Amino acid sequence: MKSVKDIKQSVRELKVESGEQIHGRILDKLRRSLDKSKEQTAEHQPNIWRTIMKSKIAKLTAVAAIFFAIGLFFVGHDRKEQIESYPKAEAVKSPAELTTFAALTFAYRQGEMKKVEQICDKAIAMAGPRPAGISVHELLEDFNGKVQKGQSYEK
Amino acid sequence: MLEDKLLIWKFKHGSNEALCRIYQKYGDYLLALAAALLQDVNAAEDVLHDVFCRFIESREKLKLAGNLKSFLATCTVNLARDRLRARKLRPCELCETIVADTNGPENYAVFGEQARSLSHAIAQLTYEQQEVIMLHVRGGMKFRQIAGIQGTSMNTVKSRYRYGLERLRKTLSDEENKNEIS
Repeated sequence: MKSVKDIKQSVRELKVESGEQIHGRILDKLRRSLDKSKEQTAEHQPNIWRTIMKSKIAKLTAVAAIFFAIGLFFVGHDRKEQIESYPKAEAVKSPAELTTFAALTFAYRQGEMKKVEQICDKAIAMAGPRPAGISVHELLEDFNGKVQKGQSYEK
Repeated sequence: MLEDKLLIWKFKHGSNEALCRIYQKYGDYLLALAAALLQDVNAAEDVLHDVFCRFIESREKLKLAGNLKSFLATCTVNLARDRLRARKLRPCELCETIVADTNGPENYAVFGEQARSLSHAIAQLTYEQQEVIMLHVRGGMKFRQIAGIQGTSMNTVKSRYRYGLERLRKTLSDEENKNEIS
């Protein structure tokens, strides 16, 4: 009569006959399958969209990045509009206006609108009334007399 | 265990050698397991091939927390169970003969002459008992793991093991007595 220990030993030693041939066949097929799988993996490179959609954190990060980009676009657009709204061409149209603009900017930096008003009052008091279309050259001629040969006020 | 982890790492990076080493290490056990459960070498070969094919397919996603041997054994048991279920649903004469006549030449060819009586005795057990005995005795799996595979309690698995072994012992003893008389 067989004991349980003997039975266990027999079960442990159970081996399929002609197993070597079977293993050889299976291994050949498996090697081919693995090569095929590797080729397929190389063909299907990881898609960035698929990678993003895989994890929640990546999704949230992508959404945040999109919102940030949209925000940046609007901020940049507004600033561009502000810069473009400066009448640069008009400001540099006449040297007199340019000089006035420079003087006023300087005055504003010194004491804001109060200083600007003071400067304007002073200028009006000094020069008296003048026509609106006067140039810097005419203004300087008016104050300093005619320009001598070889001299130039406007450079 | 460490070797298995290294093999899996290499296998995930597409190493053919790692796959061969894993197969050489566990192929024999898995083939014997499948053959004992199915009592058919051809079906066992198919199951083993399918197990490793799925293993290759899931190569990149594979996250193994436990034992590689247990993992492969669980895959084999599940596929063998599916195959048996399909065989039951699709009745054919050939399959019926294989299932019914476990003492015939087909069974003889499965485990060889020496293990013929043992494989015949194993075939007399219920499928669940066969699973428990093969996984615990041949595969060294714990009852807790087997309970997880079978979806039952550990006590049920232990009972199946005990009754299965007792039945094996009885069948083998009866056969010995018969041989002695003849």
